[in-house]
Amino acid sequence: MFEKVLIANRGEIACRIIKTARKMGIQSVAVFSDADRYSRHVQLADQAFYIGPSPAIESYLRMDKLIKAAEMTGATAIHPGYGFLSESAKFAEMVIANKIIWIGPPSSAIEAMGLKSISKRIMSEAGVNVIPGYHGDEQNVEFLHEMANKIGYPLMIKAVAGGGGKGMRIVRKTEEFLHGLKSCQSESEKSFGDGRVILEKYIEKPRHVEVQIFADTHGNCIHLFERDCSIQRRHQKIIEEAPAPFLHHDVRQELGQQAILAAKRVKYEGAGTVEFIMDTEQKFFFMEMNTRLQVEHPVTEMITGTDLVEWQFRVANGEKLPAKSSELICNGHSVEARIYAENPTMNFQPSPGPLLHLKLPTKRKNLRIETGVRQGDIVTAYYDPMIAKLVVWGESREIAMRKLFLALREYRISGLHTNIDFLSNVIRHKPFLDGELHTGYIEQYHDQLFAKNDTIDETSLAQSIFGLVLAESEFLKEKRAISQDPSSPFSSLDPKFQVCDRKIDLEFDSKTISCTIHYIDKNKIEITSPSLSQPVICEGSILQNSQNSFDLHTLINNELEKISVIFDKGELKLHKINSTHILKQKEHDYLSQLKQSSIAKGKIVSPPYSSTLTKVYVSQGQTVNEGDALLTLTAMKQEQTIFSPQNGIVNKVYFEENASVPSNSTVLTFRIEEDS
Amino acid sequence: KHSNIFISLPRYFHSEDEQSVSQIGSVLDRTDTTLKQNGESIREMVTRLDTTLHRIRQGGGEEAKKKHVARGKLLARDRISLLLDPGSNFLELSPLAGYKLYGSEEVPAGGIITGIGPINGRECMIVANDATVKGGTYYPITVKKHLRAQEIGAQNQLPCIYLVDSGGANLPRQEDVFPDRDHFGRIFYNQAIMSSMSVPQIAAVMGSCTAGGAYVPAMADESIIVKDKGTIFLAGPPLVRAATGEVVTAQELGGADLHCRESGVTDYFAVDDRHAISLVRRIVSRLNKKKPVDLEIKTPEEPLFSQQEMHQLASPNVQKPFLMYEILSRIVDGSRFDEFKSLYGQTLITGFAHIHGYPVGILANNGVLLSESALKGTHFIELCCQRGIPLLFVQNISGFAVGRVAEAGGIAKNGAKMVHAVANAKVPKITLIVGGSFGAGNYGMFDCILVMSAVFTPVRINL
Repeated sequence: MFEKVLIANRGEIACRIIKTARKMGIQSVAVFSDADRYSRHVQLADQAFYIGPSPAIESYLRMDKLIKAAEMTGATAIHPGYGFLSESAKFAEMVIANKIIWIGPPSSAIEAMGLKSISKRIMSEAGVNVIPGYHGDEQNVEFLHEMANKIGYPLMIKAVAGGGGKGMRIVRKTEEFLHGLKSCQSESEKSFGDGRVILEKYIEKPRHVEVQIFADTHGNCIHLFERDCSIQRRHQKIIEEAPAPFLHHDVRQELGQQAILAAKRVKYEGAGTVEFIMDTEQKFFFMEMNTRLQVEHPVTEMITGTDLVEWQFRVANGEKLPAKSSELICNGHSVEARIYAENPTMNFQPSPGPLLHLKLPTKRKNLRIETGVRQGDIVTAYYDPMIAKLVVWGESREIAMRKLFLALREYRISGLHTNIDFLSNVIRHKPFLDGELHTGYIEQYHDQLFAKNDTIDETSLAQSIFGLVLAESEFLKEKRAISQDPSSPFSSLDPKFQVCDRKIDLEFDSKTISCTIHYIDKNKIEITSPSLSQPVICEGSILQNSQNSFDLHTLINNELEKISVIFDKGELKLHKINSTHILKQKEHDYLSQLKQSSIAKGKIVSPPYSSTLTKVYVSQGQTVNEGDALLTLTAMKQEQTIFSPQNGIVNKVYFEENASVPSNSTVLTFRIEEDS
Repeated sequence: KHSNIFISLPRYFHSEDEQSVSQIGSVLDRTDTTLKQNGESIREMVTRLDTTLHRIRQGGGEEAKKKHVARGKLLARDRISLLLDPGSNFLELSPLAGYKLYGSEEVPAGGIITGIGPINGRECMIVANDATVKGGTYYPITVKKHLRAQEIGAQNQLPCIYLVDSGGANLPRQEDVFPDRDHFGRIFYNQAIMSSMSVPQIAAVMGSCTAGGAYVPAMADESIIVKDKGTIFLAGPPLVRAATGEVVTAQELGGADLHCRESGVTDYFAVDDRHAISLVRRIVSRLNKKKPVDLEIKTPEEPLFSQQEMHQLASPNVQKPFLMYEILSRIVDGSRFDEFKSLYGQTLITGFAHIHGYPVGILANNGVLLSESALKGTHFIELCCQRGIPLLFVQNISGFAVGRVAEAGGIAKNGAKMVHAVANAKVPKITLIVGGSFGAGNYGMFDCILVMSAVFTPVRINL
C-alpha cells in the first residue's frame, strides 16, 4: 500500500478521505488555495501544500500544481475526490505519466463515459437499456424531425455538449419541433460552442435512480445496491437515500445487472455510479455513468457497512475487492440531506457568509455529519456552498426519515441562510413519505413546501419574548462580568427593582406585536399583549448559551418545552422541534425617519447587501429635481431605481457603472439647493 | 495508612474554622407564636405598602396618561425603562414623596421620578418629570426630591440625566418653591457645581421647560430636544404677548428647530422620544469616565438564613427589642459577620461584613447608647474611614442613655465624639432604619448618603 496520498480536493470530501487514510495508516496531504488557508481539511491533514489563489481555475483545477504538490511532498497516490478534476481523463493520464497512483478509473473509461452521445451508443451496443432516441451525427433538420416523429412525443432535444440544465428543450407536439430545435441549437452554440443535438424520449415525472458499482483490476465487478436521488433543486440533488424505496424486487435485480454490464463494457476499475432515469411504471433507462466517488456515497456505506474510500485505496493498490457480491447485504435504510448555505425562498440562491454560530446535532449512533467547516469559518463564494451532509441510518425508511428530521432540527446555524428548514419540510411531506419521488417534486409541490409562515401561535410568541428577556439579562451579565464592578446588583435582574412593566415591540410578518412584560421573578414573567387572548405566564431557564444562540426550557401552562432562540441581524429566530418562527426587531419611527433624513443630508446609501450599479442616470455637477431617477442598483436579480428625494446638485458618484457596490456604502452625494 | 490525607486536610479545616468563627444567626423557632404573629402583622403592612406604591406608580391617573400618550409622548416611567439597559434594575428614590402631603391634592411620587440605573453599564442618576402629575410642575416636595437626587448624584459621581417635561414652578405654592437656599435655584447651582466636578449633566427636553425650568437644559453639559414636543423659553407665549404684544406659538418661541438651528441652546435634535433616549444612551457611552472602584470586591453570596423570616423578627410594637444578630445574619453575605469589640459597649453592635460582595462596616443598635457604646462606635467608624470601608447604620434607637450616672460618665461628650466621627467620615454611609429612631441618638447614627427605609419593619423617626 502507498504511504502517502495527496487529496486533490477541499471541503467535506477532503476531510472524509483523510479520515479513512488515517484509519489505514496512510499519511494525507491536503492542498489549499488562499481562501482555504485556515480550512478544516488543511487542519486535519498530516501535511498541506499551497496551490494558488482562491478561484478554482487558479488552484484546484491546476493539474500542474497538483502534480508538483505530490512530488514536493512525496505523495505516491492522488485521490481526486468528486468535482474539480475527478472526471478529467487528461489529469488521470498526467498522474499516471508522473508515476503516481491514480485513485480512480482508467482514463479510457472516463473518456468513454464523458460524452453523453458516445456513452449511450456504447451502452446500447452492450445491451443496456437506453432511452429511445437519436444520438447520431447526422444533424440535418428534416432528418432530425423525421427521427423525432419516429421516437414519439413528448420529446427532449438536448445539446450533445450540454449539462447543468442548459441546452435542453421539451417538445410535446410535432408542430413545436422546429421551433424547439432552433432555440436549443442556438443556445448550445452560444454556451458550449457546439450546436449538435441529440433527441430523446421525454419521461414525465422521472425518478433518478443510480447504482453504486465497484470493480477491481482483476476483472471483478459488483454493485452495492442502488440509491434514489430524485429530490433535486436547480438540477442538484439535495436528498438521497439507499436503497431506492418502493422498487419491485425484479426491477432492483435488473438495475444491478445492467449497471455491472455497463461497467464491464468500459473495463471499469474503482468506484463508479451508473445513473438511470426511471418512469412511473418503473421502466428505467441508462442516463450516464459517473466515474468517481459520489457525494452521496455515505448512504450506500450505511446500508452495506462498508468504507468505500478504503475500497478505492485497496483497488488502486491492485488488491481484489474486499467483498464478494454474495457477502453484501442491504441492511435497513439510509438517507442523506445536503445542507447548503443558500436561501430557498430566493430560488435557492447561494448565501455565502460567516458561520457565526454552528451547533451540530449531538453525536450518536447511526448519525454521520460530513463537513468541511467549523464555527467561525466562512462559506466563500468561490466554491460549492455546501455546509455539511447529514446522514442517518434506520431500520426502515420511516424511522430513518424521522431520525433525519430530529437531527436536522437540532442543527443551529446563524450568520447565513441555510436550507435546513426547507429540508425538514420536504422529508415530512406526505407524498414524499408515500414514495412519490421524481425530479420535479419541489416544483410540483412548491406551494406546500414553501407554505408561508404567517401565523404564530400564542405559546411560540410567549416563548420568543421570554427568550428575548432571558437573553438580554444574559448579555448584561456577561458585559458586567468583564467590567470593573462585576458583582453590581444593578445587572442581575430583580423584579422588585423595576421602574415599571416593560414594553417591547416586535414585528412578525410585517405586523407589529406590542407586549407588556411584568417580571414576577428572575426567570418568570407575565406577558400581556393584544396578540394574546389572555396574559401568559412563562417561566424557565437557560440551558446553554453560546454566542447569540440560547437553548432554554420554558414552562407555560404546565408544559415544559426545550426551545432555542437565535439572534441574528435584528432577527429573533425561535427554533422548536416542529416549527421555526422568525420575529423581527421593530424598526421604530425615528429610525425610518432618520434613514430618510440621511438622504436629505445629501447621501444615497446602498442597501444592506452587496449589489451591482447597473445604471447611472446623472453626472457630477448636474442639477436634479425631486423625483428624478439617479441610479439603478441590481441585487439578487432585482432592480431598484433610486430617485432624488429633493432638488439638488450632484456632488459625486462613487462607483462606475457595472461596478459591484458593497453593502451600506455611499453611492452618490449631492448638495441640497437651499431655498433662499 | 491515611497519613497522606491528613497532610492535605488541615489547611482545609483551618479555613473552615476561620469561616465559622464569624458565623451568626440561626434558624427561627417555627413554633414560637410571637414570631408567627409578628410575621403576619408585618406582612399585612408590607401588602399595604405595596398597594400604595403600586398606586403611586400609576402617576397622574388614567385620564392624564391617555392625554399624554395621545400627544405622541412616552410616559415618564416608560422613558426610564427604555433609557436603562434592558433587564437591569432601577433603584428608585423616595417614591412616597408627597404622599398625603397636600391634603386632597395628590402628587404621586412628588411629580418627579428619581433613581439610579445603568445606561450602557454606567450607573446614572435619573431625574424625570412626570407631566401627568399637574403638568409636571414643581411642588415644594418636587424641588426637595430633585435636590436630593442631585446630592446623591454628586456624592457618588453619578452622571445626571434630566428627562425634562415640566411646566415650571407650581405657582400657587411659589413661596415654598422659589425663595430659599434649598429651593428651585439650588437645582441650577448644583448643576454648575457638579459640572465643575466633572459629574456629567445631560438633559433631554421632551416636553415643556418653561421659565426657571429652562435653565435645566441650558445649564447641562449636553442637551437634546424633541421635535414638536420640547420647548424651552424663559417666558411662554401668553406672557410674551402680555409683555410685548408679540403673538407667537410655543414652537416658534422655543421649539427644537429654533434651539438647534438658531439659538444654539440645545445640542441634539431628536425626532421623537425614543430618538432622544437613544441619543442620551449614546452620550453616556462616550463620557470617557470609568467607574471608580477602590473596594476589594468578593463574589456575592446569599445569606444562610431566609430573608422571608425577617418579617417575623420585627414586632409591630417598636418598643419591643429586636433580635439584631438575626437581622444582620439575614443581610450579610454568607451570614458572616466579624464582630469588633463584641464584649464591650454591647448596646451597639459593630463589625465587618460583605453585602453583595462589597465590604461594609456595620453599626447596629442593640439598646440605648451608653458612653462605652459611643466610644466603641467612634473607634469603629475611624477604623472604617482609615480603610475606606463604607458604613452601614442599622438603626433601632431610642436615644442616648439618660440619668445622673450617664451624665457623670460623660455621655454628652462621648456621644459628641461619635457625632464628630460620623460627620467627618468620608466613606459612603447608608442608614437602614429597622425600628425606631428617637432623640439625639439619631445624630450619631444618621449622616447618610442614602436613607433607605426598610420595608420589612415599621419605621418611626421621631426627632
